Amino acid sequence: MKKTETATPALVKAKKKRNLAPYLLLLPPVLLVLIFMVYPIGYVFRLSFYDYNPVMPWLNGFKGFGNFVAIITGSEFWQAMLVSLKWVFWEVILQFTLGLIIALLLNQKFKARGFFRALIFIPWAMSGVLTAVLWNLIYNQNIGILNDLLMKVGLIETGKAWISNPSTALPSLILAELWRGVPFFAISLLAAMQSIPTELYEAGKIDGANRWQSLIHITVPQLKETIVLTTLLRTVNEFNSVDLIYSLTGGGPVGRTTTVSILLANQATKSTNYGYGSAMSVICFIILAIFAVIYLKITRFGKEEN
Amino acid sequence: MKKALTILIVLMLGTMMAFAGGKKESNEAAAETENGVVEITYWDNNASPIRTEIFTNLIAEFEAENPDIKVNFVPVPNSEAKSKYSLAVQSHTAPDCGIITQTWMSDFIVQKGLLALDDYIAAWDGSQYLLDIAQESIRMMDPNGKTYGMAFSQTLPAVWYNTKMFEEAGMEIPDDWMSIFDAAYKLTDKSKGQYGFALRGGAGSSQQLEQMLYMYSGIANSFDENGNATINAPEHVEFLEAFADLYMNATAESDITNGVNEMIAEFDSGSAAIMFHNLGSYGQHADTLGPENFTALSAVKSLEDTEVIVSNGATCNVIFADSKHPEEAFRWISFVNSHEATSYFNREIGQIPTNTQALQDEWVADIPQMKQAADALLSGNCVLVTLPFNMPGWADLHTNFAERGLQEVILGQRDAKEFLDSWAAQLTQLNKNYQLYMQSQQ
Repeated sequence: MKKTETATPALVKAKKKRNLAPYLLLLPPVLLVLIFMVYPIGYVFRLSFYDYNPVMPWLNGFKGFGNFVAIITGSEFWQAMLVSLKWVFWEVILQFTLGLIIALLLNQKFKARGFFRALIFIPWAMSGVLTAVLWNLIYNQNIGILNDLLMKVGLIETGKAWISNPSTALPSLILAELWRGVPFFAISLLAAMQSIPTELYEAGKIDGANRWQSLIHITVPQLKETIVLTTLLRTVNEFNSVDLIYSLTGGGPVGRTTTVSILLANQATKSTNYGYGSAMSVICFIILAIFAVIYLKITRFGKEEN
Repeated sequence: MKKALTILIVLMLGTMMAFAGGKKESNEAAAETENGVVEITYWDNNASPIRTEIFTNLIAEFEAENPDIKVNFVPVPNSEAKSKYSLAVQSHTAPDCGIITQTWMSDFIVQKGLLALDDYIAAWDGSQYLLDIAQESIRMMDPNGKTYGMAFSQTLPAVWYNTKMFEEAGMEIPDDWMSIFDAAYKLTDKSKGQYGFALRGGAGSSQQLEQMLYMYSGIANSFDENGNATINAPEHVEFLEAFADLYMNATAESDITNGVNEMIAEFDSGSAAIMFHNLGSYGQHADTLGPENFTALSAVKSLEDTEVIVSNGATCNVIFADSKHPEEAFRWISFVNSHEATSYFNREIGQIPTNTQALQDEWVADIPQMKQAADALLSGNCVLVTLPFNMPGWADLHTNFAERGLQEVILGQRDAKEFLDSWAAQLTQLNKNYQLYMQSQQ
């Protein structure tokens, strides 16, 4: 009886220790996140209420919602937003469609399948700047391979300035980014396809389902979680994409390829107009957060189908 | 278990503290080595293989003469240099010294990021050979007239001509802007992929335009006596309209997004006969076209019948305010500003030295366009226009407003006068705010 009485507090102490250990182990990464993510993001939110440009100190000071009002009532941001929306829409739709087709092909059994799987991944492994150099050469008005090919087949008579012409600049950039972005979907969807139980296809076959019906009624529903997650991630990535556009056109000509991210890079990084740039970042953050919540809600991400 | 957990946590927190401490402390720790040699860091704002080779040689020579100093050379890519320097100044992690263009200087002066060099220069024997007009221009960057840099190279803007194409067409080299435009039309043959003019419509376009406008009009000041910008003078509107007309008629379509490299590539490949760029690209043209096939004119005749040189700022050595070793940093930058080093750097890079001894070197006289520019700088007969790059925000106005506006004018989407009026209004406002602020600081 005595033994039991003395053992109880020791047990409680050991339990407390065990309860504390996971938190202590989590402390370093949590601190890292606080220092390198939460603090800078919080600082951006704070800066967005200020006019802050180190090279023009006479302007600096608290501005309240002034930056937000200037952004929302000005035309520059909305023009850039329109370009961003076009950019994100076409990139996600086209990358997903082509990625799905490639994934379906690579999911078949054929010779040298491993080689093609590796090959398809190459564009994804290339940096944005390197991709820009490559496509700059392809689109070059005088020595570009695209003009050369089109002239040889008789589609055009003289070389076109694909990324300098206001009407072709954005589609040309979309094509270049498409080349780089397709592998992301192809690899992600292929990985998900390989986890679909073959019994489902066999059962479908017994029920008389053809290939198209199998795709629509088995493959796509089974890929739903992956599709939702990858399209959401890609939407956010493409919205924030800067490297390729910056390297190929710098946002020109006449702002036709100036996305919100390019505008933000010019304001905050080049011009050190940190207050205005921060306000723009906050608006983008809110827009993307709202989009993510609505998208996940509509698609019922993470919830079992009835 | 408890002990192991404590050690683990202490180690992790220690690592984080080390990271959180930032670069500054580690730089300081590394600044003095155990044998008493002081390490200084020197940034180059325009990384290239040739400049790295030049500075590697200069550093080896300097370190042999000064065994108590070790120079760590850091080349920074030009396109990102301004933002990297700015960030370093703002976060107090700037190097000891470095190269900046004069156009950035006022930004760093306002942020108190640079060290005034007046006392160092006064005590240095070699300072008598620093080019007066360049140093005077640097003193003007500070409202209190302090010297925050030493110029060692200058790149004057110039009109470049492919003389071979002019000879083949039986045409004379023009020396005023409207004749230059006429020649550009005459030398255009689109069927051969040959254009009269290589236009820069992308990054840096409006800064070039500003230089051309003042070269054309001969107006010597960017602001009138009332502080109003002169960029929208009627002569400038006339020039811009003629300049915009060149697009697609005497230029390639892709010129609208041309950056400096694309523009130079057009000239160097022989597909464009005329180009406006500074004298710093001499080496590239000599390599590709051959020195006998091109020439340059830096003093173009203005409407006032004067020869106008527009200064686009010197390349300067500066010491940053946070340097822990300003004495050693000055010993190094004064070495770079010496006759021999300035001459060597500028000869290799094809720019104009801003050292009076180097300006009289044989190699300067051997290159006609260099000689012409050097004579002009030394004689003082030309009108020298200094653009308002001492004004913070001037460069941002180019990036955020003027470059796009110029593209709109070139594409016919905007009226030249309306664009210049809008530019002038913003420049005037910027100037007034800057003057008020400077008065409040005195």
